[in-house]
Amino acid sequence: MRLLIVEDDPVLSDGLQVGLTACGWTVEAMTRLEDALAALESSAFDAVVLDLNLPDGDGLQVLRFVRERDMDVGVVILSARDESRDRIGGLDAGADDYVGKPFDLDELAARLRAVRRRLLGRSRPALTHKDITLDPKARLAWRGEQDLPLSRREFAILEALMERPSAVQSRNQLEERLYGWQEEIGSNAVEVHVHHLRAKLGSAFIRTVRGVGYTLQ
Amino acid sequence: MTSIRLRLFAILALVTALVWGAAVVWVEIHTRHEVQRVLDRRLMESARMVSSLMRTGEMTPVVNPVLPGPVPTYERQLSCQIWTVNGELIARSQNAPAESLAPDEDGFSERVIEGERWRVYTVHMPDDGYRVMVGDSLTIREHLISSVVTGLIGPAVLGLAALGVLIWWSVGAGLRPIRQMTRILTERDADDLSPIGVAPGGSDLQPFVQSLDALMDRVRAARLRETEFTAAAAHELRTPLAGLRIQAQIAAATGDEPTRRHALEQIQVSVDRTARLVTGLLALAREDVTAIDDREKRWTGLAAHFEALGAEPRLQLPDADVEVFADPDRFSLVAANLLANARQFARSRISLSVQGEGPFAVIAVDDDGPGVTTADLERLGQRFFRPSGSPGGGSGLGLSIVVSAVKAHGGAVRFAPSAMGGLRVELHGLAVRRRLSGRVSDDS
Repeated sequence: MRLLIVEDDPVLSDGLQVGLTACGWTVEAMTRLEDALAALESSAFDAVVLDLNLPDGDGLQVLRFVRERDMDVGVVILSARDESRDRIGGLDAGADDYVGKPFDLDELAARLRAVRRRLLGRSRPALTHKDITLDPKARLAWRGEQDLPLSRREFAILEALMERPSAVQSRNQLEERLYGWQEEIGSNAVEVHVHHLRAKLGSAFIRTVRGVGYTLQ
Repeated sequence: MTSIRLRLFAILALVTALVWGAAVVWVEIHTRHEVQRVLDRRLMESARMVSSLMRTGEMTPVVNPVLPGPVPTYERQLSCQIWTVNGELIARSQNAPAESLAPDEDGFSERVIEGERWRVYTVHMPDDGYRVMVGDSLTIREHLISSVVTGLIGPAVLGLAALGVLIWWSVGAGLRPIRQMTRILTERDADDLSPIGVAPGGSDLQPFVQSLDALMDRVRAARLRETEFTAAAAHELRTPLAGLRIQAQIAAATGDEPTRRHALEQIQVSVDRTARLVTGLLALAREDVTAIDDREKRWTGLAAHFEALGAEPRLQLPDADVEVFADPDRFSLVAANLLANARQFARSRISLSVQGEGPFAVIAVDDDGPGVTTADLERLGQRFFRPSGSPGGGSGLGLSIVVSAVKAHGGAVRFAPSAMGGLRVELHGLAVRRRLSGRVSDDS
């Protein structure tokens, strides 16, 4: 899943990048309000971790930007302003969750997963399609009772497809979810991972919609 | 409250009683004197009248005459005796004693007869051979005087009692505004620092209320500043703490050696930064307090303060040897923060310069760094403000420490774009002079 971190403190931002990447997210980090807005405008994110106290303005502007454009993005506010009224203000402005600093990295990751689940309209933490089950937290997959070893990228593609089994995901969308902006990617990287997945899941599990992308249906 | 009332009442009652008592004593003495005078006059007149009647022969004294019929009785206040010069009593009034009322001399005299004191006036008539004596009893006189005095003192005592009640009530009524004020103050919440506004019951308490309001104003402002400062400080500390926690969590959880090393390095960076922040907060909390007294200021070398901060090859000191009139400890804090700020941004040059002399001198620090946008210039010097694009290490407190320290010296700080391209920080209002002994200048 693709995550945008908007935080101006370098150490904290670095920690979030490292920590959340380890949780399986593809992470982009911005330190300024302007850059964050530009990033959101140019590409799709599944969630935003948002600091309110930014050097060039109030982080709530990012929240408003996202909500005004009806973007399909979960927003978790991360703020040192940790009083009730700040939380209330943030949540009422459209945030999906509010975490006060300092916080536990695992808790933040869990909250991000919960926000994501709510956004997709499901309540069970595990993803299931046919006989395949994914645990987004542990990043493990099963076929029936049997463990299904997947690489990080393979898991990410499968997760993206299983989140919305009926939707068709373009190659570009999948690419964005897999790779950060700094990462070098081959032009056919997604095809290669899908190929590997089909080898493990059976060729019928992922369907190619010619000229559009991939779907599970 | 009651003690003021009691005190006032006691003072007023005592003073009134004293004045009243003095008046009573004076009236008593005066009355006594007047009554004596009037009665003496009556004695004298009566005696003279009798003697003149006898002299003109209109009356001849007869010893113990038989009075024709009942004589109308009148209040017997005066007694009269007529004696011959030989000592023979030839006539006396009904109530007069048989014994002589007075010794054989003219004018007033007093004598005790049968246990009663008499005051007597004697007229001697040597030509006719008589002596006329008219007297009255002192007991009657005393009675008269005491009844007059009692008539005066009685109402006075009653009046004094009435006055006491009136004084008690008046004092209470007069002190009502104070009582109201007390009630207003005691009924207030301990945390209520809102102004009282108008004093109850008139203008006397107004200055008191005003200074109380002013005091509460200051307390409120101080408390607000303190709360804001604490809140801001807490806020500023939470972010580095969050960074520390998350990096520590990563270091503990990861199995990857480079990731762990990176996290530990980040922890060090954050700890250093947080330590700087705490140092800055402490300095600012100290700075905040009060203006610096002139006795704590000394003439201290300007350049020395900057040189003491360690070698900085980019720093250009002023040509002349200049001293500034300041509290050395706090000025060194100013210098340290100015230099730290310039160091962070300067590319190749930092310049310390002084324009003018005396109280209107300007001390300026310029750098050739990226400078600050016009919008950010205005907010520079505010606590925790870091202009956008500044490196993460700053606490946002350095320049606000400079501002408050210079303010405490009675000066002001101005921020401007520097001719060198970066930021120019000007210190105004600090007294500056050239060192008199001076170092030998290079060109001489």
